[in-house]
Amino acid sequence: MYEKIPGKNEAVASLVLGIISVGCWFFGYSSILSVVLGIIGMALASSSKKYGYQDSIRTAGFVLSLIGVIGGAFAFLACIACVGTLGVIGAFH
Amino acid sequence: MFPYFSIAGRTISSYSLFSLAGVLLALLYYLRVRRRSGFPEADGELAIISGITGAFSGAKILFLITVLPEFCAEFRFLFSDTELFLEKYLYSGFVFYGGFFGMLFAAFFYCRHARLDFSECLRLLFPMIPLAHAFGRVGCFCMGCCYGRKSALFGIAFDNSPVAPNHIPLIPVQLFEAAGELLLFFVTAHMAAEKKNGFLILAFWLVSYGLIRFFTEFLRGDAYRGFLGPLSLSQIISAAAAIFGIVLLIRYRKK
Repeated sequence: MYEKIPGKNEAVASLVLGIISVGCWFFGYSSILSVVLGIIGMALASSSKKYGYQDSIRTAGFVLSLIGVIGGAFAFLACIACVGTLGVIGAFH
Repeated sequence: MFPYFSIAGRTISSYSLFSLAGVLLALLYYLRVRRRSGFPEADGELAIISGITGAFSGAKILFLITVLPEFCAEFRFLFSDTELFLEKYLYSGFVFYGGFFGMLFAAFFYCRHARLDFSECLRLLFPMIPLAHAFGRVGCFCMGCCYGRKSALFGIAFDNSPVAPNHIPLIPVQLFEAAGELLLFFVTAHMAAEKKNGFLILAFWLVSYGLIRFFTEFLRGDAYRGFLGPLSLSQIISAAAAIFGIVLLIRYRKK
């Protein structure tokens, strides 16, 4: 009989999203996907922890998602604090 | 300064590097203080994740509000010139205050949803914001964005900035703000260690940063910002934030 372990599904989903998130680094503009999927992966890993699931799958999911977010953000972030859009100001004129 | 550098064949902006260094240092600060805070660990992580999501969304929404007429006029390019359109409106252009209030609202709603004390959450997590922002401002300086007015006396000339005018001495207003934010980090971290009310920490930062930002905006020389009359959008938000901070200070000063 299958016994449901609280938090395990979230941990597995977090690991899968973490792997996809890191994979998305390598496809140019999909770096935004790395950030989005990585954030969802981290949230799932933390939810899993909240349910009391503290296995290595959860840790791996959290770490991979974090790496995915950091790598994606490197490509995604241009300049947060300013309104300026760098080299594309007036691009359509 | 050094706007870009290359790692493994990929060009990375120094702004990204400094921002992420700031975020990582802020996370280290969180790891250091979380055990003695008594705030549930998993909830602390989820509040940070909600805050990051809120920050991205808020910073982008406020940017789009400042360029709304231009955005509406150029929306048709989304399908004909997708890459350039996304580069202009999605991948660059974020506003700090939008990110800050987005982060605050997201963390507030998470705490409300999880039935947690928002004041405790603020006390634990708030000092992370000025720390991360201080590094972000150093990144701005390396990139040359958010640059200051011309000044022969205090100016620093950029030689290869993709944003600021090169070879003209400009006031390093980004570094002034970075120094102010670093100071605010130490003060808010001290207040948190002293177990001050979280709303008091928030109020102190709103008043202090509001004043710093209001006056440093007068030193800025970049024209591509939102303006309402003689004041920039950031100055108006700074003044409102400082007033809101004073109201909070009066309300929570004895708690």
